[in-house]
This record gives sequence, structure tokens and C-alpha cells, in this order.
Amino acid sequence: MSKTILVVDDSASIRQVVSIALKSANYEVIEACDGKDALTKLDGRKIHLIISDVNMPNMDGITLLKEVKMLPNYKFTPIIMLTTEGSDSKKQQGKAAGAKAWIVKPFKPEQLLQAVKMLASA
Amino acid sequence: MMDMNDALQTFYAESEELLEKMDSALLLVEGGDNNDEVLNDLFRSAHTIKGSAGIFGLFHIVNFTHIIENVLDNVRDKVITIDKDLLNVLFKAKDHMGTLINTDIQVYEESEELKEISSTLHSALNKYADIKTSEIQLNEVDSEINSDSKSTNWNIHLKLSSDCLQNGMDPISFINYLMSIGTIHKIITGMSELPNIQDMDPELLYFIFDIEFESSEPKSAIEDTFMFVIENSTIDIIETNSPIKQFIDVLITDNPTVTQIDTANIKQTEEFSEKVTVSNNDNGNSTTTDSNSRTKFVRVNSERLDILINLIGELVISKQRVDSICEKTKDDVLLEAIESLGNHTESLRDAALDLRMVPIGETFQRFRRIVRDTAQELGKDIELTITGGETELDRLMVEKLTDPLIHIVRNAMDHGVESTETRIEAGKEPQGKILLSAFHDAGHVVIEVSDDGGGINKKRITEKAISLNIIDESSTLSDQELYALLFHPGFSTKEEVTNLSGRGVGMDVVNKNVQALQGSIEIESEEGVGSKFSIRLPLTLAIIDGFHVRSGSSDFIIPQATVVECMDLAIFSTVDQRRCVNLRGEMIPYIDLKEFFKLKTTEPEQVVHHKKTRKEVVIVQFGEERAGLVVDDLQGEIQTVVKPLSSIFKCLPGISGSSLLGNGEIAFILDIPQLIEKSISTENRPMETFK
Amino acid sequence: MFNLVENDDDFEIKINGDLTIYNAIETHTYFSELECQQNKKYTLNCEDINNIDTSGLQLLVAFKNKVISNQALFELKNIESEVLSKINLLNLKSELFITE
Repeated sequence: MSKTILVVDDSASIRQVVSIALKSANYEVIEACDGKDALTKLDGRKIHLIISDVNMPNMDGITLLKEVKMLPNYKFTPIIMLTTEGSDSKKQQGKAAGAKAWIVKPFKPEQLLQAVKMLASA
Repeated sequence: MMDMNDALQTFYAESEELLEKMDSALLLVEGGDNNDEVLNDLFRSAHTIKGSAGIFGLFHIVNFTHIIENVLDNVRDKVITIDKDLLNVLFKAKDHMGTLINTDIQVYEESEELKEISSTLHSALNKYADIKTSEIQLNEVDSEINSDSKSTNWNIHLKLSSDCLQNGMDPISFINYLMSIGTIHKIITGMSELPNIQDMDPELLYFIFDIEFESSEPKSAIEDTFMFVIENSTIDIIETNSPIKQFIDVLITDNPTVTQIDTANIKQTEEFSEKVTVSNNDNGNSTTTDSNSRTKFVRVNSERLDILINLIGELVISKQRVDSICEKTKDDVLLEAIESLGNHTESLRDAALDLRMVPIGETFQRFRRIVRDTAQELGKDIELTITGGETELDRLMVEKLTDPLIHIVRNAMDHGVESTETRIEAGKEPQGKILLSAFHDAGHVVIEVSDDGGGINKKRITEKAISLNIIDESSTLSDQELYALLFHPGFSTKEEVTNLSGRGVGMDVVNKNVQALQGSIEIESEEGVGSKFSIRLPLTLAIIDGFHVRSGSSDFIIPQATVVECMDLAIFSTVDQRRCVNLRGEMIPYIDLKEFFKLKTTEPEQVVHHKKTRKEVVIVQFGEERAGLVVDDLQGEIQTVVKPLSSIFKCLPGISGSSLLGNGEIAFILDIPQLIEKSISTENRPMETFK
Repeated sequence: MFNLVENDDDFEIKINGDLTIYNAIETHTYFSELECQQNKKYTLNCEDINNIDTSGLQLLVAFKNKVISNQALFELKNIESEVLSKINLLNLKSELFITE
């Protein structure tokens, strides 16, 4: 049974690269272009993992994370935050909001897949 | 926008590079140079290919490369040393990786042959993967504790942070992940922390796991599994049967074998115990990509580069046009500004050309492998020496040069270098030598392949040429003319064409390829001492510094590098009715462009404009040959972009390309090697134009 | 989500849905409040559990502990393969009295 992953990023090319990597490892991928868009995709279907950018228009990744934590059907979904800044205030905010898994861009697809596999193999 | 195909293309290009890197590294190792850097490169290359292939679902590559990576990891960690056999297997395995990368996964699935090769190489490599484990077991007690070693048994004790389930991190996922990087022999789920149901918070984690795990992955990879739950977790990863484990066992069982552990081991144990304590520090930075301080390279699509260079070429032409207009204005300020523009245009052109220049060294490195393999096939002992690898030339030429060079080198090894017995008989060193060198020479790049073999047997060439009716028995040929016969189609002196140099193309094709690059091949040889093939090439194909001449109403450009000098034809007296001029005692054949290209004679009125109706001769040189080109008018030096000829002109002898002049006229770029050859061959024909 | 059926000395609890952290609180409440009578058998019918995670397994073990501490009997039945494979993974078969 293949797992479904929601990929949230305002950069279409990053979404595409991530999707390519995930699909090649037999994951189903749903794409969203920002936090708001992502919330509309959380419509009851099973999502095994969320990969989200931090800096995005409309709704950023940290806010998305907080919102997800309040959705009864999704609050325990593992979330991987993609970030370009390794250790700035965003990360502190994210941590405060409960983000645990961070991947710093640019990442190798294999790194991402490894992280996905660690978190979505239950 | 990037799609799968773009990404795949990048993967192919990247893999190609990595394979070459592996090749160079393997050759260095073979040469005895196996420092950590080289071994690391070797490992990383295989590792990266495997990783990327996985992204693209190319599991035939992943599966095959996995074991290579494994073996190389052992080599890198000095668990095994590379011996000659392993080196041979690794070379073959590397080649097979190349094949797999170029083979569609579906095609691979259906090819029993490829699968067979994969599995043969796998079993060959497996030996080295196995050796390491048994060795480690043998040396267990006195080996230094290498916590990152392979196929090792581990005890993993996991007491993960109690809130990890709430963060969506299920230990089951981590355990499943572990199963993908190794084998779980046993899991004990500890219940000691699980409270009565009334007292438990159902969203917290209480289970504790003890896992017996075997993996060839380094300890760091096992630790990485838990990188997202490391906060507030206790994670102990301990090598089974390591001194510390024995120590712990002893303490737990209070077994008298405690006396067996000597102080040295205790000391190691203490050091080790520092290592096994996984820090609870934030480990997030472990996902950053390693940055190194080496020169950064940007990968650019070569088409884009060509467009840029083409545009700069057009700019150079426009600038020349502006030049000619400005000169008429006699406006000093404008002229000054234009001069400065000119300098910058030139710098820009140079910089752009530089982008296309690559050192030939990379290509040369491939020859280490080719020479090695060929020598093995031939059963000869041949050493390759490379010099001038830093010499740069046009990337397009490098690509087109590889095949001709391979052929020449193989030829030298097969026909040139003698067998060891023959060499010993001749009093030579048993080991044959091939020298591959490159250097710049007067606006050209020269690439030489020399050997210390038997030299070219002139008698045999003559006999063969006669038997093939290429020459007749009465011909007396100079050495150069004789060697030129080697480039004659269908010419091969070795009675039995071996499957090496006889494979595919002949020397005639080699010569044509080099000529297509506006280059030429010269041969020097001395019987019993050796031969030297010199390929002489222009630096670039894109832009040439030329010498603009007119003949009739047509414009021609002579590549500047070939021009020796210009003279008034009238000062020469023709020699013995031959089409030949005497230049300071040297007889030089000439050719009249007007006659050669059958051009219309200039209108008489135009001739009147000239101070006198005289002819100029431009002496050109290519390689060692010289010739004169008779033209009507010298227009001076010009810098111009070479445009490929449209197909109707392709059959025109003596023309290699075309170019737009500043005034919009088309000029033909002369193919000097071809013209020199023509002039020599027509040297003895009676003159028509000049009496 | 839970249906309790009494059957002579036996109680069968039909669990309708997955046992994951999403319904861990509901499951926990049900299991903690259920009164266990001595010498009765409590059978969890798992045929509708398609998925289970660590929190669900913890609850199963905790409930089993409660049942046996009340000197009652505990049994799981109709375990789906997906669920069984996770029980096997964590080596909980004997812990949960699974014999087959």
C-alpha cells in the first residue's frame, strides 16, 4: 500500500523535484503551493506525511504546522520542514510550534527520501 | 522548469563524470597511489551514482552498485586492501555500471546477458565483502574499535522521547527503516515503563526497544535513523562482542571472565563509552550538504554556450563594421571611444573562447585505462607516460579527437611496440613505452603519440602499396610521402589485422577526422627506434584570426596562423616552367585562387584603380609544408566568426567555412591544408596564367 | 466504536476501526472504564482493525494487563494481516497471547 505525501512549497520546481523523488520511491504525492492551499488538501483523505517549506506566501510553514496540529484527523501527521536557513529564528519558532524534522535546502533527493522513509514507514 | 527528463539528463551527465572519476582513481590506485583522498573519491563516486539512480527508480543500477559501494567502503576503511584481482574486478564492475547507466531498466530486466554479468561480478565482489567480516571477527579483540565498520552486529537500545507519537513519529517506522539498511535479528519490546491502564496517557510512548541488528552500514547511518527523535531520547547503539559489550556482560553476570579483559581493552572501553553516548543535542545540521572549498563549477548547457559564442562573434563583426564607418568620420572622440569598445570586445571574445577551452588532461587520463586494457589483451608490457595534460583546446575538438587518438594509440601498441621477447633480443628494455603529450605551438595545439617500438617498416609499406596498385614500382617516395600511404583507404601492412587496431576504422578515417578539425597528422619514424604521430590542430573552431584577401570579385580569408609572409609575385622568377617560386632558395609551389576556384577575371576598369596590375602571393604553411597562394589584393588582418558551410558548398575543395564581413559580404575561409596539398600535386603541371 | 456482546461467560468486544493515536484517547477511555469480571473471558474481535500503531499496541498490552490482573481471560481474534505483522515486528505475539 503506497503512502500519500503532501508536498507544500511555493516554488513549482522544488515541488516537482521533490515529487519526482517521492514518486520514484512509490509514494503518492499531493502538491500544494502554500499553507492555505495545503489546508484545503487536508479534506479527510489519508496523508502519511507532510513536507513543507517554511517561507511561503499566504500561509507560512510554521503556521501550517500549528493549524495541522489542531485538525483532529491530521494532528499526528509527521511534518518535515524544508528550510534554507539552518539555525535562525524561524527554526526556533518552528521548534516552539512542535516541528521536529528539519531538512536544510539544498538537499539531495536521497536525503529527503531517507527522511521520508524514516518517518512514513509505520 | 525541471521535469523528470531534465533531471535524468543531469543524472546521466553526472554519472558519466563520476565514472571517469572512478576510472582515474582506480588507475591511481593501480599505480600505487592509494591515499585516503583517492579511496574516498572512489567510494563517493559509486555512492553518488547509487544514490541518484535510486531517485530515478533505476534499481538495476542501485542493486548492482550497492555491493561496489560496500567493497569500496571497506577499502576506504582499510578493512581490505586492493590487490590486483580486486582491481581487475573493480575495473570491470565500473564498466558494467557504465553499461547499466546506458541501459533502460526494462531492457535490463529482459537481458539475461546483462543480468548474468551483474551476478558474476557480484559474486566476485562478494568475496571482498565477506573477507572483511571474517577478518573483523578474527581481529576483533585487538583491532582498534571502529564503530563505523561494516556488517557488524549491534545492540540498539531505544528509549525514545515520550512525546514522539504525538509528533507523528512512530517507532515502528524507524524499525521498518532499520530493516531497509540491515537485518533485525530480534526485537525485545520492554514494558517496564508501561503503567496501569488507568494511569497511562494513551498518546505517550512507554515501550522501550532492544534490537539485535546486523548491518553493513556505518554506525552513523544507524544513528541517523533516529535523528528526528533524538531530543529527550536515550539511544544506545553498541557493537555486539565489542570490548564494552563484554565488559557490560561481565558486570551484569558478574562472571569471573572479567579477568580476561586486560587493561588495554578497558582503556579502549573508556574511550568507546564516550562514543556510544548519543548526545541529545539538536542534530538537525546533519542534513546540511557538505560544502567544500574547492573551485566551484557551474554546469551549463553546451548549446547555450555555443549561442553565446556565436553572438559574441556577431558582435565582433558589428564592431568591425562600426570601425570602418568611424574611420571615415575622422572624429577623434568617436574613434577613441570605438577603440576602447574594441579592446573590450576583444577581451570579451577571449573570455568567451576561454569558456570553450578545456584541458586535454581528462581525455588523456582515459588512455591510462585504454593502454592498460590493450596491453593486457596483447600480452605486452607497456607503460604510458602523459605530459602536457594541462594544455587547453576547444571542447568540441576534444570530443571529436578522442576516437582518432584511441586509434593511433592502439595502433602504436599493436603495430609499433614489439613483443617483450623481440625487445629483449633487440637489446631494448622489456617494457615498451608510449608517450602521449600535448603542447601549444604557434597558435596550434600539437598532440603527439610516440612509441619506442620497431618503427615503420618502409619496405613493407612500399611492397604493400605496390601490391595494392597505389603506387607503381618505379616510384621514389620521400619518407613523408611514404608514411602518407598509411592514410590511404584500405591500407594495412600487418598481414593479420588484429581485433585491436583493425577494429572499426582505419588510419584513413583517423586522418579525415583530424582534417575535419582543420588539423593534420605528421608521422616521424625510425626503424628499430620508434614512431611519432603528431596531430596539429587549431586552438578553436569558432573564431579565427584571418587574413583577408580578394581574388577576382570574391573575398577569402586565410587563417592567420598559417600565413608566413606576403610578397609581390612579380619579384619571383618562376622556376623551370614549374608552378613554383623561389623563396630565399626554397622552392615553394603555388596555386592561383582565381584559377583554382575558376573565378571571373576582374573587370578591366577595376584593374585600372590599382596602382599597377600586380599579383600578390601569400606564403602559407601547414605542418612542414609550404605553398604560395596567388591573389589579386591583400585586405589585411581580420577577426571573424566561422560559419559552417551550407551543404551546397560542402563539396567545394579548398573551402572550410564561410564568414560575414563587416560590409555584409560573404567571405570564404580557405582550407589551407587542402590547398597546400593541391599545390604540391599540381606543381609540375605547365603554367597557364603566367608566362 | 466498541460493541460489547455478552455470551455466557464470555465478553466479545468488537472494535470498529483502526487502533491508532488518532483515537487513542477514545480507546483508552473505553478500556479503562470497562469493568473486568473475574474468570470471564474478554475477546477483542479485531476483524475491522486494518491499521494499528505503537499507541494502539500499547493500549492492547495495557488492557491485557488489566484483564489478567482482574483474573479474567484475554484473547484477540480475527487479526488482520496488517495488524499481525506489526505485532510480530515488535515481538508481541506471546505478550498478547496469540498462539496461531
